Amino acid sequence: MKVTVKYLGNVAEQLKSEYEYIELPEATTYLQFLEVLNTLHPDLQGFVYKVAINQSIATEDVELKDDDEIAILPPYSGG
Amino acid sequence: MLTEEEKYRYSRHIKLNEVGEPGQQKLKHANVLVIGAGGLGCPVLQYLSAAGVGTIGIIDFDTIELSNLQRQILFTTEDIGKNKAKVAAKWLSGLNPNVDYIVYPERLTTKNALSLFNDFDIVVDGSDNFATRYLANDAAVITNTPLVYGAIYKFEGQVSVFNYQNGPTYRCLYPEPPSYGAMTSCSDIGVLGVLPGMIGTYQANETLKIILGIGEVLSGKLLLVKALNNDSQKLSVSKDQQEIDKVMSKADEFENIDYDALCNTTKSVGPEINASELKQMLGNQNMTIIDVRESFEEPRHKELNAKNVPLGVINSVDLELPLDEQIVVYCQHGIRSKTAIEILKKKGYQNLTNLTGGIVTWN
Repeated sequence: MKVTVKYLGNVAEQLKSEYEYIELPEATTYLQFLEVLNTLHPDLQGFVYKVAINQSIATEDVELKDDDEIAILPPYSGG
Repeated sequence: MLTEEEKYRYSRHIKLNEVGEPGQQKLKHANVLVIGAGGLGCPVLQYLSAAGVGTIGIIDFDTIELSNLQRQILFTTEDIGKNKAKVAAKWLSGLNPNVDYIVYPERLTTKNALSLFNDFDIVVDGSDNFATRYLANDAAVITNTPLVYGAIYKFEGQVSVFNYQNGPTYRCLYPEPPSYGAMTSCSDIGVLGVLPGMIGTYQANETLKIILGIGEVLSGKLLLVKALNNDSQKLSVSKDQQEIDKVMSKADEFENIDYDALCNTTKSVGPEINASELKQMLGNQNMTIIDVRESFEEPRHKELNAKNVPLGVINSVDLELPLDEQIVVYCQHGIRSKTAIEILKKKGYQNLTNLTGGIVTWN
């Protein structure tokens, strides 16, 4: 299955990408997806961010579905 | 009671069914504290004043400088050098003399936060650093005060309302501040001037909705706005009771908490040298200098012969240096380089020195 992963803030800058499609095995869970992400982009290890799945901040390990939209949200401090 | 002047001044509010004179009275009796009279603070303050919020507290220790005027639109060129909170109150009282402005030309600290927050119904976070944001969150939780949050980064912004009617708090979203490595304290991150205007105005909107009790407040929701392509999304945020309980359990020690230390803004990672000491060391063959900035960051200073290894890859790149090599690490301001040093320490390098203040101090 394929998920869309959107990047924001300094994460998008680090990866030089605002979004990408990531292929995942059927029934991949959210935590498994994070492992895939860290393997694909080891640079992310230094970053703090929250993850949203389909417009909702992820709080538990859920099973992802085809076409899910995942957003990587680093905190902003500017004012 | 509204005076005749107020009825006319606020007639465009009063004509709205959702506001009317009762709503305008609610605004008149409201007390709002705005943290920061800068990029976010200016539009928040302007719109809350215009709306007739009865008492507005403004807390900001900072003085106005020329580079602020690109986005802090309450100020004029003649105000450069003066305190932001005082100048803001001066101009705002011209816009709306009916408002009672309380000026605090000082920092928000653990010593004043609790009593300040207790004095106001709503607090608006227009600060520009994590230490203040976490301090504000914790004070809001302890005093049970709603916190209208806005934060920006270059072209993107976030808006939410925390601690409102049993809703989530800032720590429910981001439990801990980014470690040293997140480069967020570098003051030369730019910003499009309109962005704090957009986000600050959203914050003013949330504040008015809370006071008036109308519409849908962004409690349990995070609004993300991207100025470059006008994308905006509302994400759901859930409450994390553990994070709230943690804050409450430390309430008695709140006044002694060092938020700067928690946000690692001043942490030491070992030996430091300054630019003139580094100059004297140049020509030492057994020394390697590493620049952890991005390749496009200026100035470059070829005379340093530095290896450019951006922070993002320093963990994965093989430096091909002996572990006891003397390494001096620098970045723009001396902050990211400390993170790089921590990473290199974990890789086994033993002789690491930071260029204090960064390459901007070199000439």
